[in-house]
Amino acid sequence: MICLGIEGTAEKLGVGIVTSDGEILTNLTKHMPLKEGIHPREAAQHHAQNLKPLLEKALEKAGISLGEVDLIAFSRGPGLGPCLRVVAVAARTLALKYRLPILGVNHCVAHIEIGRLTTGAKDPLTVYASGGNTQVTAYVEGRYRVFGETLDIALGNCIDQFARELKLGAPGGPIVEKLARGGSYVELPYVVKGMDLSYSGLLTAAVKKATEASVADVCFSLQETAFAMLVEVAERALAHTEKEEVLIAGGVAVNKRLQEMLRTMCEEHGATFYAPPRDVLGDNGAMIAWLGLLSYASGARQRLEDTHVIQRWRTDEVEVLWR
Amino acid sequence: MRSGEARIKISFDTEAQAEVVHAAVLPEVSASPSNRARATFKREGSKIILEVCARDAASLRASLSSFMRWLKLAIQLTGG
Repeated sequence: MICLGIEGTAEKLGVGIVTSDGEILTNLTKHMPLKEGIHPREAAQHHAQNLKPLLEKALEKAGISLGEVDLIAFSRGPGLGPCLRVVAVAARTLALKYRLPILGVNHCVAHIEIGRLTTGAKDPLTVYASGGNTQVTAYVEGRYRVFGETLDIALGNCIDQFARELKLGAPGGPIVEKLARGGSYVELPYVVKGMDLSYSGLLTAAVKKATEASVADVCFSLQETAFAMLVEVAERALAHTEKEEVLIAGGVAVNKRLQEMLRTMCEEHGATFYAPPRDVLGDNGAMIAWLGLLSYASGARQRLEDTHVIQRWRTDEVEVLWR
Repeated sequence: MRSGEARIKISFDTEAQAEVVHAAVLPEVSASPSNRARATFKREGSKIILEVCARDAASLRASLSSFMRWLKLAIQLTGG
């Protein structure tokens, strides 16, 4: 079975084609050029304009036609409403035109499943950090339960917004990571509440600190503090769930320092650390296609009229039928 | 502020294409009710008729922009 997956929850548009054997035939992503933050309507317009050319390119690269596709999957949520709706319309159009089944799937669960597919991790604790989400999840009794999460902004949002405030450029993640290499530690607030995290106060404090300390020092300290908070929550979740693997997911997961800190924590607990390849860490179409295949094989079906988008859709609301 | 209304009729070459485009966009009409703009979206043979009634010009523009974005995309993907 071949599934075509369309991702478009935020500023990235992705088309991926995957087989039920787990072979990724193609996985193309189109990034919206960003100078500032994401304007939802502009991002939706970007997706609408680029969807057809990206789809054609993906099919060409996979060497197949739409007639050979068996299933259409799309990112149904959570995400920015206008972006989700463009992708949903595209998925429905293709499903109707080629008379194919359609499945809208959860973006966050897709990150976890593509991580399991590409790393071989069997039952990991997942640390998922991106521009829109920060959560520590693990599979327990039929669902990916959230053991800890941000109470306000996501980790990627914190770093990106810090970079914007200091006019360092966008997206801020790789710029801050590079600048942090030459920095030393200055004190910033460390906010872990129970099993949850808060990044908005840290962001304000970091921007303020940049008026008195060097940019490199603040970049270094922002990373150290923000990542240590996440690793602490992950460590406690690992101890609680007694999982033997840790998987990293999401756009922020490409950060080498975050990977290093999680790897060290895993070594201390005798757990195996898994980092998926870069092209499936950030938002991508292959993860949507793969989750579509898993869901379909486990019996999930959707009527066309039930494929409306869900802007707020928690990871733990999804019934995991395929495990 | 003045309220606004718009009526747009799109004619397709075939009824099949109109049917696909209409069915693909229709769930967006029912899924997101708004008290600022109301839309009726129907198909008559090979024509799609969109009527939007909004309480102000900004809402009318926003609603029409969304519909145009979806319709254009669906038409492109059906090969038109």
